[in-house]
Amino acid sequence: VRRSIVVVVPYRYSLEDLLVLLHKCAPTKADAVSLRRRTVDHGLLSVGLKIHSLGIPSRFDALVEGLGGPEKILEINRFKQAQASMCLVLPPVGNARSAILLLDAIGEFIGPELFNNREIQLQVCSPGRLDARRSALLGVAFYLGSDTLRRYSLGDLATSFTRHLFYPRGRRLILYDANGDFDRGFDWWKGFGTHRVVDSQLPFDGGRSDLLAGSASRLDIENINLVATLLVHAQYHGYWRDLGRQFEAEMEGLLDKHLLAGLIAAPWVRTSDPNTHDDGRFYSALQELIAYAFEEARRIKVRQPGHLFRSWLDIPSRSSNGILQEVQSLLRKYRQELISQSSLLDRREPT
Amino acid sequence: MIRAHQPGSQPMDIPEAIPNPAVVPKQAPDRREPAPTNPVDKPEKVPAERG
Repeated sequence: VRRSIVVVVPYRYSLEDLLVLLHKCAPTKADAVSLRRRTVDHGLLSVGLKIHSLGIPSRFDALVEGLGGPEKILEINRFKQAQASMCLVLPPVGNARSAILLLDAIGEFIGPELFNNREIQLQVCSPGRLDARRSALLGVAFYLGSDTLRRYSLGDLATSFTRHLFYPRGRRLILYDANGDFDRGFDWWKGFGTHRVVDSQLPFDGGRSDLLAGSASRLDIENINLVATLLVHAQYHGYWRDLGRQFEAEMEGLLDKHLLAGLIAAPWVRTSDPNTHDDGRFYSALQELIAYAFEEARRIKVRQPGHLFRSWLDIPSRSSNGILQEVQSLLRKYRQELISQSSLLDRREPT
Repeated sequence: MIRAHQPGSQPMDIPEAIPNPAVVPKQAPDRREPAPTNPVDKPEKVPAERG
């Protein structure tokens, strides 16, 4: 069942303008994005991106000029990472694959690759404001599921909106939007079981949960998209709500097993609730997670081939595979489950 | 890299980021665009030789 509603969202530049520019350097990728920019895969959420450049802004000059100049493209956007020289906001696309191709194409246009680049901080935007507990789960799952374990300072998470008068966002990994433009024109799956209803627009008028992923990878974008989808569907009663609630329960159980359940009570996002306003409480939780993950990484390394001898310190004290491997298994399991259920639906109701 | 140093001890380098050992690294895709393919030259039809 498909219901159609036309939505017009104003942009300072369109994705089409950007793709015309990128076509000169990366025609195949630009064409692929153009073909699938509104396509939603398996009912996953759309993906928005912000590129914070910590390096020389001139790298983006040709791109920004081609889109209409800095006044039109950069200066209207007052939000950026505190150490960034500029922040380029990209129009959202319907799927993570297109988001990755778009970043690849921009990388080819400006020169250096944008993924795993220390001078580029990526912000991945998902529609829907997750509540505090689910924001914490998103942050923890992103951190442990990433292909890079990072140490953050609080300064890394500062933005121009840290102490904003109307939209103070604090220094957090997860940030809410500031009531800016919102593109609702992406499919939203609802219903349950074999009864899937596809709305042609998202069920919220506005609101996003953004993740300051830092120097991020392709896997990070895919993981954030998967986890945000499960959590947003659980919160907003989407088609994947049951799968999302199962994921929440398993993620909480996993943290509980590793004595990290208290991390979820920390304010990973700053909401209107004054109890979430303390950056220090969040940062303590983040540091605890970082310390645990780094220790786990060290333990896994000594078990890998090439390390013949282990001291008693290196012998795992628990029988589990360890939290890093468990989170990888969890993400793999839910990705496979979501894709297999979606494929089953497609076979039952061919379009 | 963060450098931790206590007087009287060897300075120790603490990495800011390390690879997650639980993630099997995927080979990064080739950034280069595929070269445009030349149209296949179809031989023109020629009448079959007889005799």
